[in-house]
Amino acid sequence: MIPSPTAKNYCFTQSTFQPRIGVYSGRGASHSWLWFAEILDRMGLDDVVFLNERDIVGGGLDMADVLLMSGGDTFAIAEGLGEEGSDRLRNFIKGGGLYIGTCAGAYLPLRSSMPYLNRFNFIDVKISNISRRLSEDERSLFEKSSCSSYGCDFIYHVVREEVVLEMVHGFPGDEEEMIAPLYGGPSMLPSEDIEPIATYNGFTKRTRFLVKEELAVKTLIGKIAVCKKIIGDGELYILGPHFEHPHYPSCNLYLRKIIFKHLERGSFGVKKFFYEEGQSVSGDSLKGYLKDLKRGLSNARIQASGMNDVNREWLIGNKLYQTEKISVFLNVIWDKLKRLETLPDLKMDEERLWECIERSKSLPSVIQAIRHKMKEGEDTTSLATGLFENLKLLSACFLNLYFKSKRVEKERPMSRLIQAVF
Amino acid sequence: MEYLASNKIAIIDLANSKITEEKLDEDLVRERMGGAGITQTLYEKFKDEEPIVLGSGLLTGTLVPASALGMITAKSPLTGKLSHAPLTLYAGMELKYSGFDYIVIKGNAPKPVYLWIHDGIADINDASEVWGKDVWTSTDLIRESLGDLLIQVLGIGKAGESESDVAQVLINYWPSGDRWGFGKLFGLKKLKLVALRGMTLLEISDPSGFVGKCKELLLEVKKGPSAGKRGIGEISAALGEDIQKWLEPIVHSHRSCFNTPYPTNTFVFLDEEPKRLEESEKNEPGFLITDLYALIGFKKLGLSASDACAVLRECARYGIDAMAVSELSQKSGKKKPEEIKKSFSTLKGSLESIGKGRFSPWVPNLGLSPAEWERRQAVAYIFGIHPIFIQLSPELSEERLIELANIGTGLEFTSETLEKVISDITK
Repeated sequence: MIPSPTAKNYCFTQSTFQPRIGVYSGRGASHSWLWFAEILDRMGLDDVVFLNERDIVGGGLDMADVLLMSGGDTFAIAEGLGEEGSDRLRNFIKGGGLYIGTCAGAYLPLRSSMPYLNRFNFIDVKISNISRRLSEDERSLFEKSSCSSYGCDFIYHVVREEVVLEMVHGFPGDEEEMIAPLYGGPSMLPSEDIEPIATYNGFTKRTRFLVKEELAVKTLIGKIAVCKKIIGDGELYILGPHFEHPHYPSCNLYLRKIIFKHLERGSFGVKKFFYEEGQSVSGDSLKGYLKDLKRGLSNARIQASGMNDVNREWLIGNKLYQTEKISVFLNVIWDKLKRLETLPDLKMDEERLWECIERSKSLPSVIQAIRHKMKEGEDTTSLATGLFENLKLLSACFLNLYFKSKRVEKERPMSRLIQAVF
Repeated sequence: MEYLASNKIAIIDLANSKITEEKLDEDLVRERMGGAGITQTLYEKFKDEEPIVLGSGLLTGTLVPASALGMITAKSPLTGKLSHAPLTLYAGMELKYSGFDYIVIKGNAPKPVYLWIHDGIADINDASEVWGKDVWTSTDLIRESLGDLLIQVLGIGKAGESESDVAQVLINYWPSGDRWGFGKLFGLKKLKLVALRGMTLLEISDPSGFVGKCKELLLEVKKGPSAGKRGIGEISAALGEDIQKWLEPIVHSHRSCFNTPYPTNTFVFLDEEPKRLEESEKNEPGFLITDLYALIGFKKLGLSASDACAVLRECARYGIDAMAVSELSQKSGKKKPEEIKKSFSTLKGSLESIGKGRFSPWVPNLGLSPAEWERRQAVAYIFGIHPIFIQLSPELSEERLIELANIGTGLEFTSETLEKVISDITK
């Protein structure tokens, strides 16, 4: 059995002992899971796989140490995972897994009586940003874009962008205050079921108020922004703000601390990695494949650039998607692809790469069709829904390949060394 | 080549649809610097295959003031000599970011094609939908098909397709500085157009040093002789050809090329109220005057400003060099707009306006000796500086441009290297 490394020796054995991290990219996830991909990449954590609801139901979490659940449509995530997904998630945490949920991923495990969500009652905590806590006058202040339906009530959002957090029970050596971005995540009321880590403490010049400041203060200030709960051998960290946003390195480092502190609990390093090994492609054949992928992506990026001046958004599920979000997905893949090309002796899974190419090829014509229909004043929601679904699947498929390639590259010198020794 | 370059040259053989890529050799850059220094080298390398070489300068598309210039280098059907045509507006910049530093187009396609150069990918595509269409229509169709109005199109019209000696390669809808009949070369190759779009990024060797020097230079330029001036009228005044009063009633606005402090182009409203400030209700309200000499030529024929610009517009749609049209119309005594337009397909005759050197006479000489003018053009074509603006701005000295190139690329160019390249490309 491979010994469990401590956080202390982790840094010396990073290429061998890495936490296996699953990032949820399935039904209901919006685009913010890409931020997790970005920061994990920056942190050099390469044992990463992107999981959808089918993967989780199919046992994908059995091989993970950590599950990262970012923003999106909480109801759709819950519906997608269903009862079986909920059981899988509960067992994962009980068995020693670490669940980190931000924004929609933070709402998911909180107690709820709503259909689908009621299967995930892992944490007994109430939120302050629910309309039942508002007066009639206050309820009327919210527009479609700053609230989400919740049965007879609605979840409302009082600010966007930056908030100041007070670290009430952080790790030793933490700063007393942190600045983090908030895009609709929960503010929670005290509960015996949770250990508060940080509370909302104030605003900055970059805070965008969606309501009058007094109501924002009433809703947020002093309420819990980050909390923790232990279930069985595992832990849940619930973060209202998007700590994974790549523009907030202090928050990103905090997530890293959570992961590494969790490693000290022990069960790390004994599971096999997620992937099945498929037939790989390398050399000139791979160059040809990558060029085809670039062609599809570039054409899509350019078509998407042509829509940048169109101020349009689609309500997909309970989530609003703006035209510029198309480029967000494409640019992440594009940037990572450029990095992949610099890796020597690159080998990639042919079947998955082919899937990426086929998905990328279909994008330009769909974006073009959306543009044409928009010009004609026709409804494009159905096309946009399909487009974003395809973008998510493409991004997840590609990022799986990307992290795998990085890991293989990182392991190469060591395997050579081992071969030389024996 | 690590900095200020995509580090790639595309070699496109239209005869067999084969595209190969070569790295931009740093030694080549050390020796030939960039822009025309390298396009000329590439031309020589492939000259048996009648190449057309597209390229950008060392500093094209950067924060250096007026770094707008790209170029087409080929053998002129009119002079039989290797010549360079300027690519201004946003075409030079887009070429720089297209993912290729240089593009060599050789061979003749068996059927009409267009090139789609984007993000380091070069595609040869079927042009049957745009072949036979005028320049404006084909630009619209290509942009619509590829999805972005920022796509820059180097294209030909019917003049090029019918292999007229005075066919021009235009930039989107507007006349370029191609006085060499390069449109005919496109036509011979069955190449309708080259569409360019790039969202690649360029690395800079010393970013903060480079930005600092560029800002410093821009401040100086803003205090220089071009400060406060604008439009094609002021340039004509400097030539002693005062067209201001004649043109003024239809002037709508003045437009700059990429990052160029002086707007060298003037937009006139022909089918719209010239003083209108809000968005025009017409699809084609007017015309962007990019060719001063052609405008002056039509004025000399006795046309009104509106008629002159309307003829310029027809020349652009047809893809014919308007300067050649004005000169040959003068010679044949055609002075009415309609008869001038009708003559496009049969236009022939010897031209005096085509210049004697390698750099396009589209660029007016604003008071320099012919040798000084040629040297400034060479400098512009090596570094990628707007060839008209470089004359208006003594602040863009050879020393400053070498310094910026060194900071930007991390290489060590010297005045001796520049001297040698200038000497080679002006021979």
